[in-house]
Amino acid sequence: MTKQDFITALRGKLKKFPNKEVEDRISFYCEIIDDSIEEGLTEEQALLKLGSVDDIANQIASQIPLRKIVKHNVKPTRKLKVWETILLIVGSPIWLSLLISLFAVVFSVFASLWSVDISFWAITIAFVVCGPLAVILGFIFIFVKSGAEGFAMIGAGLVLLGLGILFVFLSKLITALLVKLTKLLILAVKKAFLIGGKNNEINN
Amino acid sequence: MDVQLKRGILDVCVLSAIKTEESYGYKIIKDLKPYVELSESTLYTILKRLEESNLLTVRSVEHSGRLRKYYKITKTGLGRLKEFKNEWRDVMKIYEYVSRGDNND
Repeated sequence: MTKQDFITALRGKLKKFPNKEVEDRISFYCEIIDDSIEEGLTEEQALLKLGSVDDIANQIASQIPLRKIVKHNVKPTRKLKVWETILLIVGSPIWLSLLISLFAVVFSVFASLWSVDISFWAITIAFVVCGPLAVILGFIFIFVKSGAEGFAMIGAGLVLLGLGILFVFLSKLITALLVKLTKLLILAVKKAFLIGGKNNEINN
Repeated sequence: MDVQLKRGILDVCVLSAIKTEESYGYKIIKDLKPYVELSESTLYTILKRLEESNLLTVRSVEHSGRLRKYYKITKTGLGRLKEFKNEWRDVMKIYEYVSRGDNND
């Protein structure tokens, strides 16, 4: 494969991505390929060292922020013909409501996942706050009410505190998992904009 | 090398490569090869990040009929390197302590 073929193939895969970002990266890679050749490598060796077209396309896709990708695709790339505009307007009850429901589904799935996370943290805070309060209350009970009630309250407070510590770990774990899941999802959406070819593992 | 450790150190590695004189992409990768394996895409991200943080400046120079980007360290960049050396002075002391009495194994 020649350098030009490589670049053309790469551009082809990244057609739906913001031009400026893609071109900036492509010229960076071009420069390195040219320098490798100057240092004595053949064109083929230089390209091999870089990686496959899929690898590089995946890497570029993963590095460009999602909002830039979406923005670039939402902007119309050419003026719409009259019949296209009419069709869009007439069909809008269908496609618009479908689009809205799609976003609503995706959003609600995410909202539910994150609200589970928020609930865990709320429980954690409840335990961590109530535990010490109950212990303090227990000490007060010893003098104001009776030793038995006081110690029972202190005991309950310590249990709550213990549960609080447990829940801190659980909440941190769930948050970490959710963050990882969100990142994976964003990456999957980005890769969906790549044109053609199988999706490969991204080497970071 | 541990992934987390590597990520924190790569910025400093790249800055070091351009510490004494400005350099370009291919040369930076080559110079750093004995110390760390740097992929082209990783270097691109690092250089962009360093530029945004004003730790280096970029200029295009004509070379053999094409344009080559040269990266030059800034005063802030040199400050970052100094910071790194200070941070790691303590780490080195700990290293000595951990290795005390060991025969090279």
